[in-house]
Amino acid sequence: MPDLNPITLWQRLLAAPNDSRGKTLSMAFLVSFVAALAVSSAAVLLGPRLDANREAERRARLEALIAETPGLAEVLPGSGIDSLEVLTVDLRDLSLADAVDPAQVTELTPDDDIAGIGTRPDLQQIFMARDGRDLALVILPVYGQGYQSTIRGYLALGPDLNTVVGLAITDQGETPGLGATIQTPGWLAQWPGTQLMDEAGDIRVAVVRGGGTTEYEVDAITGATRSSNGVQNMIRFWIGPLGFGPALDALRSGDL
Amino acid sequence: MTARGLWSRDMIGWAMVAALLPPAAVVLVEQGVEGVLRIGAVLAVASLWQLLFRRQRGVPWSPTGVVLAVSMAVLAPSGLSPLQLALGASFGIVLADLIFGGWGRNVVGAAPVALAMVFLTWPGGAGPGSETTMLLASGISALLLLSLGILPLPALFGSIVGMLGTMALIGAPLETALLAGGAGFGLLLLADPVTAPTTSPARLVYGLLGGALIALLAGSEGLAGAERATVFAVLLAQVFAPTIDYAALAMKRHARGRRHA
Repeated sequence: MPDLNPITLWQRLLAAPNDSRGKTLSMAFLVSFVAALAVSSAAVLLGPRLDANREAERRARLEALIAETPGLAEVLPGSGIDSLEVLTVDLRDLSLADAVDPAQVTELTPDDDIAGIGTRPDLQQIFMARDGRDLALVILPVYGQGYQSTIRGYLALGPDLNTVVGLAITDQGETPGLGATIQTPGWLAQWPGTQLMDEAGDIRVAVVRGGGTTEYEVDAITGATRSSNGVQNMIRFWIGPLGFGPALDALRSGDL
Repeated sequence: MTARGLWSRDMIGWAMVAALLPPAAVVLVEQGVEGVLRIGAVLAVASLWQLLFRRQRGVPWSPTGVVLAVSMAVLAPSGLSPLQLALGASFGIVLADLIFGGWGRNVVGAAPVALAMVFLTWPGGAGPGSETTMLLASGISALLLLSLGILPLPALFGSIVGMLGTMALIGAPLETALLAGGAGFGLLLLADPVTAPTTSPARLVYGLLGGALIALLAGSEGLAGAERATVFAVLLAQVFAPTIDYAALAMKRHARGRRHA
């Protein structure tokens, strides 16, 4: 019968020579285990504060973005970002949630997944500004697959929820000089005024070569067809039925 | 005590496993059941491959599987299924590690290869979201490995200097370094004693290169959520490690030749 008394085990360990493998490894595991306990309790205890800081950072970035995006700052009533409401919406049933939970996702079938994102996070934040009681501005976070990277950005819509007020790209790793043009102010300046849907409610917005001829079109970047398509599909997905489409309808009818 | 001394290959392997407890604990706290599944899936498939290669080719056990499992749980995008991670892990452990004869003979680490494959195959996932606590956990791991003499200090030091220096140069917000859970953990992978060069000056240069690449690839946004940039930077630096070693040795030989001329 081996002796399992922890105290004698501990004494035996301490008595072992310092250059024994067993002692060295036991000590390493022990120290590491204690450190692991300390760090994980810190993670648990600090969780709410970390979440709050993350939220603050996100708002700060959005604020900087609004200041940089032409046309946006003027639309905002009052003192800019302070008037921005944040709604966390569950896209499955349009209920409101307290916080974004990246673990809740909906698998997309290849036919539905025009933005190439695989799964759609169900809880999404919508940023809104009101002028009095009327909606003045709605900002939707959007992302999708470009030619060689994930493109992330914010789409700002006017009170009719159909007119683009501005598009900002926050992240992209497209080919410098070609696809990366999607992040330049010159290209983005085409977006304000673009209409997303026609009167029947069909999504018409498109990024096309030689475009800009109709109110639904934006000129594509020569030599960067797939990056251009990426932006188009990203916007089409996120204003579509599996994106913010139902939420936008609810906003229009005042249900949200 | 054997004549070979305390530090056998297995000993170093187990010490590395021990040192990875804090990051693993943070994964379990932050990702919950999903974290268990992620680590479990990778560990299972890695063990399977190790067993197979051990039977067929006599490749001995190594901590690669554990390092791979924790690394993938820390760095791979959330939203990927355990199956997707297992596929990436298979690719990494077989092609980067086992076919070269196992841990210790590999040129690049299994974890960066597996993660690069995952990032390239399924882009678009969000970062796993670990930040300050993961940085803290990685720091503790680094201290443990340094105190045991496993992690080369010049490589780690060089990588931190290279990373912060480059961030300052390109004007990235330096305070994001405090949120750099992914990049912080990545420095552990970068300073892996197997894939880092063997001479001290080369290790310093290698660290500087790796750190600078992380900051460059992460770009002006800074290091928060820079898992993707970290993985590719580590991989690229590891590819250059033998060249840096070769250059350092050549310069040393040259200097000695002149002294004895």
